[in-house]
Amino acid sequence: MSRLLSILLIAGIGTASVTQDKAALEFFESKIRPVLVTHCYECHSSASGEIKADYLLDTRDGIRKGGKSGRDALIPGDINGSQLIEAIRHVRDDLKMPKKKLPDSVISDFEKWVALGAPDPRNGISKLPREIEAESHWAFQQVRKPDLPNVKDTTWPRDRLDYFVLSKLEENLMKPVEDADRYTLIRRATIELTGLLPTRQETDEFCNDPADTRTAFAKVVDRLLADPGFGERWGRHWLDVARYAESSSYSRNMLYPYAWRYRDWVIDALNADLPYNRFVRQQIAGDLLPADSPKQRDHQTIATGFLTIGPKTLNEADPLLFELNVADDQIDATCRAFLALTANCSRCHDHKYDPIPAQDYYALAGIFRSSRNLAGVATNVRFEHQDAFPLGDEKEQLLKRREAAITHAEKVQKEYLELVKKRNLIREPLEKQGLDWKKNPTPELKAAESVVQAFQAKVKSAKAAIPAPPVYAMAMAEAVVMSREQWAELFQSNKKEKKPTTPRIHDSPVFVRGDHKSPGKIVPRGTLSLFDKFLKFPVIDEHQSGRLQLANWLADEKNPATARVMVNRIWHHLFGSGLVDTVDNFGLLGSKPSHPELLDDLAVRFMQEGWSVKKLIRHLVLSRTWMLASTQDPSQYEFDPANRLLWRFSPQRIEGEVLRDCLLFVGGSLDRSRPQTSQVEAIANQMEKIQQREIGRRDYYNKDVKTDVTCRSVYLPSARGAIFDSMKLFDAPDPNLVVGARKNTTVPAQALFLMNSPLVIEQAENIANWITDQADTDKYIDEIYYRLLTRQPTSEEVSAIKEFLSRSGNNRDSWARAIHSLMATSEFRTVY
Amino acid sequence: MKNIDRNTPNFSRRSALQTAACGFGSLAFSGLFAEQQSVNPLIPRQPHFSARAKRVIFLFMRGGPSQVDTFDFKPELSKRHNEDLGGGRKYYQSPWQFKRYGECGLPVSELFHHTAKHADDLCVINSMHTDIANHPQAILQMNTGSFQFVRPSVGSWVVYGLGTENQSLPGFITINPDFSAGGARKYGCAFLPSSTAGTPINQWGGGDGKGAPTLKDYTIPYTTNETISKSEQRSQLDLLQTLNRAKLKQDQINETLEGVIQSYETAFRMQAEMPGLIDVEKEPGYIIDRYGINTEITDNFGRACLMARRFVEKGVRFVQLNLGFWDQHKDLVPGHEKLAFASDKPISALLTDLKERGLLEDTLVLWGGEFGRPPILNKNKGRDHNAAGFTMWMAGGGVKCGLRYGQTDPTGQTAVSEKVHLHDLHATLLHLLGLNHEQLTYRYGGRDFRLTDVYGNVVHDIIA
Repeated sequence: MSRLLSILLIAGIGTASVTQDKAALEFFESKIRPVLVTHCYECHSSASGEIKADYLLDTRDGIRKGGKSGRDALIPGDINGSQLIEAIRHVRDDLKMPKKKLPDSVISDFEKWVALGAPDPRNGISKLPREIEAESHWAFQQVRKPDLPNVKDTTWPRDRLDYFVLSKLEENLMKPVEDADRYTLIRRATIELTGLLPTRQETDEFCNDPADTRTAFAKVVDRLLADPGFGERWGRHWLDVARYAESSSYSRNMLYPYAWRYRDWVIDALNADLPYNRFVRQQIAGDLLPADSPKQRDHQTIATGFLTIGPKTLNEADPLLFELNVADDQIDATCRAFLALTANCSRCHDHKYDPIPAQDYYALAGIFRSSRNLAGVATNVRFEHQDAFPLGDEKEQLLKRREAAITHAEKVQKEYLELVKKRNLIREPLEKQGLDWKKNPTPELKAAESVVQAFQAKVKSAKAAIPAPPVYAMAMAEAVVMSREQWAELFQSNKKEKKPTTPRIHDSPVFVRGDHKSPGKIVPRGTLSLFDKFLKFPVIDEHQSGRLQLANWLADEKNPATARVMVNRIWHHLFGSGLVDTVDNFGLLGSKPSHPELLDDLAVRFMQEGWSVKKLIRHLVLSRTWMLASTQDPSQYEFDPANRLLWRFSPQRIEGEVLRDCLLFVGGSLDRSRPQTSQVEAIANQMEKIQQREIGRRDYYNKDVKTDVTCRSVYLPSARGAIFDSMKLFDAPDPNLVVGARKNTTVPAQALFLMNSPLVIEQAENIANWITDQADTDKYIDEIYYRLLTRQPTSEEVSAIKEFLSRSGNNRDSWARAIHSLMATSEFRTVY
Repeated sequence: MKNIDRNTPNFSRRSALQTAACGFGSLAFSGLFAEQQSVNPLIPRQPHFSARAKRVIFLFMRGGPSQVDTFDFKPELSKRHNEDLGGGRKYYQSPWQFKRYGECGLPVSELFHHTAKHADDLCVINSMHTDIANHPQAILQMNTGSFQFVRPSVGSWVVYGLGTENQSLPGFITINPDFSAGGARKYGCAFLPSSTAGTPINQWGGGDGKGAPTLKDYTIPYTTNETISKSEQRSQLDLLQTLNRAKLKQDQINETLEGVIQSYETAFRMQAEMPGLIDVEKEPGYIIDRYGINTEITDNFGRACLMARRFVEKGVRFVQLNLGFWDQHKDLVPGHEKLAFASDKPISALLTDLKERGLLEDTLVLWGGEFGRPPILNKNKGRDHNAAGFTMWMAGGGVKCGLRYGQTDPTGQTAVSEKVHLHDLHATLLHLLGLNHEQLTYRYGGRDFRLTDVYGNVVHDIIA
């Protein structure tokens, strides 16, 4: 870094531009430069220890560009507009530089200099040390296939990845522990790949397979990868990243009735092993990708739900701020999920650490602001996202027919009311005369009455003729192309009727300091510029939002982040911690990879094998590294407690979802079929008006959610702020945030749940009910250990349980309690 | 362990933890927990500097009580009484009488005549202001510092900073929280360790499906188990712990498992302690009467206040009480009277009780809403929202006693002198607890976050 710095400094003392007047330059050299050097360079030059306010004034570029404030510091010719002059004049309380005011004569020299156009011979570009660091930051370099490293023990590795791991271990004079036994392996693989436990039969089959362990294990792994439980388990991992939830959160927590279709899309995509580059593309621009059939188009469009399932500030009175908040969530989700970058830091100012200027942020904002959110959610304040995306082959015709039928029904109803009115006009005089028209109707009234009666059937049939609405999904669509004026007019006219307004395709301005009331210069729609040197972003056609280009840019093999980030996410789930352990941040404040070459090797392999998630997982779990035992080794532990070097398999805690599923599974209660919808849609449909679907309003939603369901946890209703205890207590991610790595806390509330929750008690009782002969303790203890922990009990354990059973009566209840204890053990919720 | 190069593995976590035994505080604040979540984040820690308050009771008056009708006496307003402002709006003096109380002569409205008896212990801030005059956002900003983004609540930050003193109880308890306006985010921990999140007591408008909150028959979930007696459960737990310890022996070193074993013991104690602790009827009769328990109007908030006292007495770090909805756009008089009558006596009892037990000295009591109301009556005989000026008061915990700090303009509408922004209030609250609001940070997604974001100045003038 210091060498780079000095190169820059040398560049800074370059030759004067010939266009600058010689006398003016002399003025700079005699009056300005000495003052800068004496009074400013200490804190504001590349050589300063700590550069204050990110302001470098040791080059022409730097002194003009300014620092943190984001404002130009020096505008040639404009004395009063230049912050530098403001600062040395000491007119602003918060900006007085240098601390000791310069003599008035010097200040007037500077004013004169600026008025002259601030001639300055100091060429070169000022770069902050962190900008220089960013240029060489590992994550911003292209992915390169490394050579396989040399290892001493060539018999140990099985997969390519093992060479990288072993080489690093050998370098550190460490060695891997022994291989895991078959019991451990099948339990580990079943939980990690499907989120369930192996049955006794599956365990026995694998453990008795005469083939060598790896061959036999490959069969198990292939079976598990083909199991629908795979998508349910790994889909949940992605849903954490996608901040999936079924309501809007924030101040008005409105239900998202159709979010679940995105959830199912994710699960299906993983089960079908949709190549990851397509998985990415569809979530950003599935509606714009070529499709063979309307059905496929629908399916791809559902994927864009990714962009609009995030939290929304639906109580925001300012439509612009609402729009910017939505775009902010979309920028954050996109950049964190696919690139592991925190681009949303640049909403208010250039990113403090990563090379993401605010301009890039607003280039992305332009793309998202030029797209429509079809979310099916609205409040009385915000209704732009009211429409949802209708599904089905003939949805357009259906919607037209429906609209026509509704109009017709309304017309008939109106006619009917006219007839009623007519009849009432006949009634009224009779009433006034005090005649009982009910008992003795006049012929005229009789006739009018029969017309009304006859018409009632017509009203009924007109209503019945309205076809059912199509089914809906949450999705994105392109906005319309129109001028600002046209759009403003449309917006105004729509405002009264509170109808959704359609956004227009347009470039966004930079909003200075993130303040929506301070629009700055307009930036063309685009993406982050930090990968420009490897991957140019195309120019976006004026009729397009740019989502399609963004999707292709993200899924491009030359994008240095996409493959690395996903490979690392998969590694994190299988090994308990990513090669880069800040899975959602590959920026300068993220961690460095523990095995950078391995990360690149896997990324290359991932892309070469068609971005297949299943293939990659198969490689990983059949590696010798993953098949290691989790045996503790105190001396190696002392050296590498976090197991960053992978000398053993790190025991991992299972998530709340897996815990609940496994409890139901061992208790024989788990319903493995997929619900055809979500409870949330059904509950939403109870409210005809979309604005009424607010959680907590007159206790709506909470009293309606069924909790005694036995489907897999991924299908449970998951409104923001209202998730099930079994998940909430066990570190469920906050769905307002992209969460690639869950927390792993140990708190008493979890223990209380495991001790006292009916869920655990009931499943323990279920198992106890299967025990036909309570006296046959050895047999049943053995059986229960297989079911719950996939292993034989130790003699110490057998005697502890036997003692408990005999003390507590050795009956069904005491068995249930013993089984309950086993379910509550740490081991039950740990993958060893 | 951001302060240690994570790519140098020859660093022993054990030795870090051994060091931690002496200097846990500094490690905690450098973001240790971001990495080491098997460590119990609730272990008590030393603050940054010596603290004036050890715990907080926050009486959160959701909806926004009107300042000119409670603690911001505005004689000038009577001169402009009924001055027409158009649209059916007019300046309107408080319909309630103010009297001066205590040696300090603090003017308080009759709505809070019980609380007013503690005038010499109150530090009233009349110059509060906040950013948004809209409930959901303002409520979130009051409780988390941010109305826009998901951030940890004040209580979570405090527990993250200081841990808690009683491992049998949660560090942060919130009583009668409602489900709307941000829901659980009002006491959520966002990215902080989940054990710093508030434990809700009698959450309403959600969860249990009950309507109006009542603490009378409330029980804490998962603390009861009708299928088993306590002694049977103890022997079941003994079996469980035997199995856990056998596994620990086999694993040799397993910090998570050690944590699990610990958490079961705490849980067993908590389930024994919590139900008794929330059963306020165990208190002597004169205490129950003092809080107005078993009198219809004061029963619920009286129970809440008494529970709060019982919790802080047992070492809970942060207790929040929620009362509302003070949002009288219509019919100011009956609305405010109902809520003031429900809370005045219990609050006064709480202050008396804390004082009698010597707890007020290092317990910070904080009262107020998310914003205030203008000195104007609308055509519906109500007052609308006002974020430009409102009143909060503090008591105990090292604040100056009998002080009226800051001013609104003569009508009581806008804070004009010695203004205290919400962020300043948060900074001051942390300061009283011995925490520097700029140093209490947590790293998430590549950034150090703090309660006050980039804002906040400690109001030293109100600190004794």
